[in-house]
Amino acid sequence: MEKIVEIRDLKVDAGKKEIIKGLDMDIYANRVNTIVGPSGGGKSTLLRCLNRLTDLEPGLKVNGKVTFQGKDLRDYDDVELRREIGMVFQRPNPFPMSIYDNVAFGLRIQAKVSKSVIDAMVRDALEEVGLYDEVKDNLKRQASTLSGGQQQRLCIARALILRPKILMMDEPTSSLDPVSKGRVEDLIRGLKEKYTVILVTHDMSQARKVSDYTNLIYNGKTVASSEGTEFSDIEDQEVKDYLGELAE
Amino acid sequence: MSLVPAFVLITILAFILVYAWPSIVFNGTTFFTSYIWNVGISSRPPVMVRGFLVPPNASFGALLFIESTLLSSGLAILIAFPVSFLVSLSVELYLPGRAKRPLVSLIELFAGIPSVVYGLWGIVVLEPLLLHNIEPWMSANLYFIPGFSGEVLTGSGIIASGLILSLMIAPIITSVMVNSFDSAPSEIKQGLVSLGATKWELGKYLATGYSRSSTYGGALLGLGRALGETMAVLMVSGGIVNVLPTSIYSGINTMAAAIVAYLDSAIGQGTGINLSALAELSLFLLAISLVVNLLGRRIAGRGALRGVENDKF
Amino acid sequence: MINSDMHGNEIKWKRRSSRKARDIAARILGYLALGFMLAILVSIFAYIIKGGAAAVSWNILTTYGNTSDGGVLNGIIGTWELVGMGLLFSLIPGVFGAIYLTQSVSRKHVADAMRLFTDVLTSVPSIVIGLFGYLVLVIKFNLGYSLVAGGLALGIMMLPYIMRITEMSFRNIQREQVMNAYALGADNVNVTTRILLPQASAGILSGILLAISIAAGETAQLLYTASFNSAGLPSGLTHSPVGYLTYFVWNGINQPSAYAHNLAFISAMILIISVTVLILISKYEDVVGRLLRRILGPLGVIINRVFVEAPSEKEDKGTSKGEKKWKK
Repeated sequence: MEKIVEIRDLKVDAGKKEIIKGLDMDIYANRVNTIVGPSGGGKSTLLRCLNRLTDLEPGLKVNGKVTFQGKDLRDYDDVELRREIGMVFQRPNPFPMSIYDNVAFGLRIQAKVSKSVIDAMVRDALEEVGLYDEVKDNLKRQASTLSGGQQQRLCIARALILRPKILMMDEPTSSLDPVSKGRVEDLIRGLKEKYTVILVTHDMSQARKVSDYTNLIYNGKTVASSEGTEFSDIEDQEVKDYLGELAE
Repeated sequence: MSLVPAFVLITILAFILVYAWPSIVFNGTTFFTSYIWNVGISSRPPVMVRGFLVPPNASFGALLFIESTLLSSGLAILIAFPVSFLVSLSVELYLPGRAKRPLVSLIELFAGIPSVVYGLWGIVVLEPLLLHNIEPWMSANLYFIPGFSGEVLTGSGIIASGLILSLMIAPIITSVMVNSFDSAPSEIKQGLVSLGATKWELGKYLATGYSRSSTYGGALLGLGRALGETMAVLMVSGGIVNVLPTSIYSGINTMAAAIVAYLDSAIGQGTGINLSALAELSLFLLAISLVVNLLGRRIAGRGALRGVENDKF
Repeated sequence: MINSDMHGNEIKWKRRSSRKARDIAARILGYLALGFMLAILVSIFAYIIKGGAAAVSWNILTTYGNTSDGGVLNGIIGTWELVGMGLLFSLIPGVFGAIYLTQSVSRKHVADAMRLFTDVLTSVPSIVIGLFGYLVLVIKFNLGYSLVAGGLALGIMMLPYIMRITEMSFRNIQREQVMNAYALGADNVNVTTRILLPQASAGILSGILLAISIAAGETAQLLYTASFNSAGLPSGLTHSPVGYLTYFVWNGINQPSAYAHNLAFISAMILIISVTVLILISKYEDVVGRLLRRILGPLGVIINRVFVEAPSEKEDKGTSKGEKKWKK
């Protein structure tokens, strides 16, 4: 398996509290890399380190070495990095504009492309997330009129239009109903053909459904990682208890 | 008790309207079409004109005052709007977070400086600078822009008034903008940044997209304040009488300033028509201030103004 | 990098440098705008304080004057008398109006309309209030040029600020706490006196300070309501003109004599310093409270308790006591 991201001894300090305390992790290309762990354990912060959204929060001190495609994350230009590492958030966050404009947004600010290319790429992105047939007749409609599940797929399309290397998803189904959740999970499985997926979840059953490689983060550290979702080498009793709770 | 403001407001409107009524009837539309404001010869006995006893030669055309008010306020908003946008960008996005509170407080100090102090500063600092340096340079080098060619006679006038007004309204617009940037949901901001938007692109989108309504609402609130501002403008406008401005260097006389300037002579005038004409001027000023303000509040919405309501609107 | 769309067309990414350049340009312009504003702020303070400090003397501060002769004492006293009068007229309706607005949950559209009127009242140009004051207070109600007429004109302007800020302070109180109190059987009066007022008092206080700072700098309302008294202090509440600092500034600088200009600068200096102090206290009540305690030690704690910290002290006591009582 090809490693696309290597994280070594990552520490994130929020002044009063250390959120991530020397974390190691490998992310494998064209796999669904799942990160599970209790809430408040540093999962979201880890994602924000990878596309350097943490730059926006001057209160956070980030230390350690993270390489993406063999190059230190800090040597990337932040804007370019975020083009190559897309992100989908916990709650769908469509911008208050039309469906079409939402999907085209990243392309318009990042690329010099003609109207017809934008049209084609918007369509491609919407097709990739299986939304095109549902919205093709009213692309000019406000994105906020879509259902929650549709909005989340729209947000995925919005990230995919930039053709990222990695798509990070921060508990993308936690605010969705079971049916929409299923659709997004199906979608995630399909995405790994073209993209590397990093999925944060606290839902073990979801991890079982989609995960190729699972990392367990507990208390700011990676305590276990394995192919599939079975962890065998855990010794810490606290972590075992947590896993037991998850399994129930 | 919460009825008191409504009661006061309606009382003000009603009284001003009653006092303005004779002038409204007497002047008709000439009030808005003529720029000649002549208080009449009070030493001679009043004469009957169109059914009203008025001092001889009296005429009340407010066009100059209306035009002056619009020009100075318009210039103020032209300057204050981009400056406020840039200031809120740097405070909100570029400068470290802990610099924000002190800087915003400093900007808000502008709103607390008494308007006569602005006037004083305008007279001793700004006007000489405009008269000797800035305006001659503009006249010599920017004459090709319509309104920019002309003779510079004094430092007072449109530019001085517009500049001073822009200082007075910039804190209002800045407050509204900073607040609207703050109140934009972090999901939207992070979403924009994670698509690779630069800070400038983020700020531009928030101002023209997500927070568009507060941007325009804030500008209107600023405009509303500029329209009614009295003392500072009175001190630096030039107090021109009966001559419409010919260039950006011309002196002016705004509605608010004219009310102060003419009230003294109107009080002593026996027929009462002069006072009534000033009441009509007040009524018109009040009406446009209220309309602009209401519009601004409507557009900005209550949410955008929350937290900045203790500033001087 | 997948640098093409699905049909194999190359995507041309925008050159990073051009977008970065725009970002940097915006940053530079932003700093320039901020620097420009701060430079003007410094210039205003510097010129006024320099001019005032150069001319000020004990004699000028302690004698009455008429803007071209004498001192500014009548201006200083008159300004605070007028502001005090304005506060007298605006404080009670302001605070009680806000209480009503906060508690009239059931008549929401009425409260909204009242709120709108209050907001709109802040946008009435000061000279319009001034003209109204002259026509109605001075002439019609025959108050003459006086403290009461001037104070009322200022009060009209202060009222909406006090009311809105008070209401906002009420709204910042946690809703659950209020609901909790109602649930424990408290009535409106109880809730107001035990929860709303104690907890909001810091906010109300800073609103009052702000209203005072604005009122102290007003001129246009006063010109034809308080007129101007060159002789000294007003002899009564009505029919006796009042002197005030802003008049010294306006009238003084319009006179030819250097002495009048000096008085204008001194008055402006007093105004700008007091207004700035008031605004800073109102915006930084938390910091001021801490500073007072640190600098003055035990004395500071007392001052603090009386002026600044009073609300939070009361807040703790008020709620814990109140809750205990209700729980019994």
